[in-house]
Amino acid sequence: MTPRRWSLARLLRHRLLAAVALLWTAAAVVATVAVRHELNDVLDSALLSLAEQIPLEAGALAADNIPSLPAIPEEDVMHVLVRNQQGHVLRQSGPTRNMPWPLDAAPGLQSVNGWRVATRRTVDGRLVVQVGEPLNERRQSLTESTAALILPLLALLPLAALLIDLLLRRSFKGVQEASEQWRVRPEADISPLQANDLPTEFDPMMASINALVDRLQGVVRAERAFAASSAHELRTPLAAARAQAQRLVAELPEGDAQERALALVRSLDRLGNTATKLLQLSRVESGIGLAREPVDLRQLATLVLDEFRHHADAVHRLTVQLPDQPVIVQGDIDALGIAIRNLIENALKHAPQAQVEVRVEAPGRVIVSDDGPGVAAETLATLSQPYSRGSTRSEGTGLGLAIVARIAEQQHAALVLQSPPPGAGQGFRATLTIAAAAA
Amino acid sequence: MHITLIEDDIDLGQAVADHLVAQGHAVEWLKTAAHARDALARMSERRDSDMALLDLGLPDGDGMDLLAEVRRQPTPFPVLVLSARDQIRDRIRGLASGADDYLVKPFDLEELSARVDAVARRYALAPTPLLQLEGGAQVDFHGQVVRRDGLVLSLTAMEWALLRCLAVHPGQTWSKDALTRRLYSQGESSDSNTLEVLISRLRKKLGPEAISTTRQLGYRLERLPG
Repeated sequence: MTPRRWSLARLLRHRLLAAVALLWTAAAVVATVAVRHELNDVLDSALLSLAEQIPLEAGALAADNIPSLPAIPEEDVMHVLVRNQQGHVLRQSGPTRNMPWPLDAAPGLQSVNGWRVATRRTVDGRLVVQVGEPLNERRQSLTESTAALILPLLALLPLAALLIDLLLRRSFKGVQEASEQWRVRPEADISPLQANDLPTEFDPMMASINALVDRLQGVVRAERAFAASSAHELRTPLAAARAQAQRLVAELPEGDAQERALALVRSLDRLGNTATKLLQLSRVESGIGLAREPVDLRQLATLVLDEFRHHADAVHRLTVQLPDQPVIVQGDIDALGIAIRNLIENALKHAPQAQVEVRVEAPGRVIVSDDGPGVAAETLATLSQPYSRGSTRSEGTGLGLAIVARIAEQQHAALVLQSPPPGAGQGFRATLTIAAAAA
Repeated sequence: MHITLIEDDIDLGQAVADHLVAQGHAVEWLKTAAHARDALARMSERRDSDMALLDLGLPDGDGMDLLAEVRRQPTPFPVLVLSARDQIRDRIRGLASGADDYLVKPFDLEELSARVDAVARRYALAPTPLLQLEGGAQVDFHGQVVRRDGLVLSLTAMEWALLRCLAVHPGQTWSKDALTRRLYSQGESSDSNTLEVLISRLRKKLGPEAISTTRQLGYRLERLPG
């Protein structure tokens, strides 16, 4: 189980958004509480001041008529009630007569039976003035003001999310640009990563990565040096051993000793073959000469075939079909040469006695086919599998085609293996298709 | 043929030289670029070598430079490159510098012979593969067989070398000096193989009419017309 991957940008977006929402909610709660408090105060003072405004001089109430009672609009939420000690209603506003307001209420403000009531008495206590407001009305206006406070905040939240997104994207632009630059680096480029556009927070990480790259450079340089110089170091003594062994075969009389010398020649051939394949692999892996330059496949095939021209085994089995015109592709001539040589060697080795044909076609195809026994379908699948070092079972049985597959990958070429080839009863065909050079 | 081998590896050079001698060639073996340079300069004047086998990785110089020097000389001279450098670019560079062929180490000695013969044929240095001589002998250079009166005759390596040398241009008279230079590797002298002895042994096998002697001038192979 690999741990779940996470994105820093997504994490920041989520957390910032959550923090903003939380802060806003807290601010809204505090504001609502404060607003309710203030609103209650304001409404209460309105009740009190209305109660104060009603004149309650003894003379003014002598008559049943109290002309100085201020007119109160019918629709106003505030109701006024003036009663005597016995509860007889002297004056009132609004249509409702029996307000559930207790007569013995203490002066000041009370919440009773669903009303907010301000009570005022005359000094002698004969008259009671009460101004009331239904509590549900007050609740509704409180709710409305709270909503007016919170709803815009809710509407702003998606906007905040967008803003955060934008800011994050801008902040991460440098990182994305750097990753894109690194993504399109040539495979063989092992220079340290450049991080001029990255924020300083990445410096320790970049330092670690580049320390690693530095070590890797050393390894790759060593492998390149090995691949380049070992050719001579290995090949010359091998050539000497092989030539000496061959002289031994020629100089010994027929018999056991000569058989032994022949075995020596065969072993040295196998050793040379394996050394060559390993050097090729090392070349390919270390990325020596991964040039992208115009290569004439026709000329290349001619040069590779020239190596086989005097092979005792190849001379009667190898045929060539070349086009009249050069076939120019884009690639590295050494790498493509190794690929074609391996395809030919593979065919000669695995299809003994069969005819092997090498064909070059425009716009960029090299086809090596034989009419030998071919391979089984399940084996074919393993052959065309992408290269892995584990497939080096024995010389000739995996290394050659693995090298070709790896080269094809590096040269942006396609390698197709078919057995039997379409339209043929038996045989094996390898087709290497390389991108043509831009005209 | 007289072949100049320029190869610094003692074991490889020894085996190649022995093989070429066994094939009937005379071999002069040089181990450094300096010696090779002198020899190549001398050859262009005296024409006492027919072909050079050149190793590119010499301790005191690049074989490629030697090749360039040979190519600057007016007369064409066959050079077969032996190299440990196996990349296509190396091969192209070698051939472009004027190598007549390019053989990658390690190589099969038989393949070396085949390539030497092919280059020699291109320069018309090799005898016709099948030759009918005065006196009835038939020489098959390819199969290294001589038949006379229905009998298969066996020739020694030196006899083959002499026959090969004379057969390159049948009818041409070769001086004793020229033949000696071409037949004998440097420092080699053997009483049983002096030129006179070789000639008389060949005459015995091929028939006295096959090789004629011109006084003061030298020897000539007599080919049957037709």
